[in-house]
Amino acid sequence: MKSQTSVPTTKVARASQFVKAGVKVGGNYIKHYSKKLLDPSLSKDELHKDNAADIYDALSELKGSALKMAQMLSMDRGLLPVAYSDKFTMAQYSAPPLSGPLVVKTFKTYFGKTPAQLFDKFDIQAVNAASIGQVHLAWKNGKKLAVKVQYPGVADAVSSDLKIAKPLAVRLLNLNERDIDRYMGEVESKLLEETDYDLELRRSIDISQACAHIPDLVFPKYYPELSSKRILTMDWLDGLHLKEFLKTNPTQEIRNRIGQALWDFYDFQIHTLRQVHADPHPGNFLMRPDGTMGVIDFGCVKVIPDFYYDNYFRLVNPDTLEDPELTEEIFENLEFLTPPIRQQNGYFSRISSKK
Amino acid sequence: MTLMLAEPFAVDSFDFGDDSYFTKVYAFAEGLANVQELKNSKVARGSQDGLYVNRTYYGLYAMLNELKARVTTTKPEWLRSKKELV
Ligand SMILES: Nc1ncnc2c1ncn2[C@@H]1O[C@H](COP(=O)(O)OP(=O)(O)O)[C@@H](O)[C@H]1O
Repeated sequence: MKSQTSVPTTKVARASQFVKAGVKVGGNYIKHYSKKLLDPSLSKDELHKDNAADIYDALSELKGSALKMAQMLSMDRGLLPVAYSDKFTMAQYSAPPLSGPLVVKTFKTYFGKTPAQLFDKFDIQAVNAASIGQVHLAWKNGKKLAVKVQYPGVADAVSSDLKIAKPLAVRLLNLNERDIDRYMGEVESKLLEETDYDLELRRSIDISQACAHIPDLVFPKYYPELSSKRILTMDWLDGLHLKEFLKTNPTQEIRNRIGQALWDFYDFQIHTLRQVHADPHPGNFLMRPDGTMGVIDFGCVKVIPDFYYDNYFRLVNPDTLEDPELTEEIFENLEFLTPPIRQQNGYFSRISSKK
Repeated sequence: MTLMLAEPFAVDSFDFGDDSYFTKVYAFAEGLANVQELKNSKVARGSQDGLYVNRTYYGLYAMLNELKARVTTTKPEWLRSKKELV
């Protein structure tokens, strides 16, 4: 992969990236509809594929929050046509790396030292490009370490990126302005948190300690003295991402074991800690042949408010659904329904009969 | 959506390798996306807290599905149906 020497950080540069994608999406629609005039059987799938490719190309040049947004979209798989999500899952793995001089510069800014002065050995070539940073392999005192370095300019660009991305999101997701604003507000505050590696360091240490008793999970040790606002150092963990792991043909027993560890991890966080590693994508879990699994990246942690928790999980109890009044009350608490709609067209009864 | 995601909670052990369950979930989500009134400006799609909670379960289930894992769906006692005991 070719290194990027700079990230387009000015607002204008970023805006033009999004405009590029927007224009292409428009163009694809025209292409689709003119083709459709000739061939009415043409499926929408082809259109979606074209769009996904164009948008992905524009987003992957941007890195930072835009790439993270692509990741979010791909997460909500069910809400997106398959063509989009296939393309977007690529965002979970690869973005072009930053050049060596930029990496050294970041270290100088935050430690006043070069990586070579801080570590016994530091690979200037990144081993993994992540969404808002990249990961380097390093050694110190005989320990193999993973050092995550954030792309410069990411934190400052979050809010303006999201504003620019909004019209695209409206079009892509078919959501209305008001919903988008609410979601974007939530996404923005979480993204800003994700750029703060000091916060990530504290949370990583807290949650990994709280979850240490769960069988088969492995957490890295974190090093505050080798971390800063934009650099995070932890133990290197061996293991494979889900896709590569499956290629090794693990037995059913091992797969069940890892699945159980995943379930237990989330069960404990949601119901006991009430705060959750809200980024369960395959890039954050490193699976090993012995049925254990490394967990990394506590950048995105969602604290679940009690009121929301109570209502959400009351719905999960099958007894609740047999009580239509209670169900309706919960739906309203969760803001799924506004009263007029419910009466107008029986949306509620349709939902519940689908159960 | 929440209702569909709740299915594994209703049993003690759930086979996430069961593709028919996932086909159902995705079909349901696609259906929801197409329900006209959901695009209407006056209807909310659930509170913003739900964005992350649902996303978390989506991500978790999608991974368990790829793993084709069968797991014991441990959960707090109060989420169980009282009737199960009978
Ligand atoms: N401690 C570690 N040990 C081994 N590999 C790691 C470690 N931390 C990160 N990586 C690799 O780098 C990738 C990206 O790291 P991650 O923390 O998920 O970044 P981001 O949160 O920016 O997406 C991971 O998918 C993993 O392959």
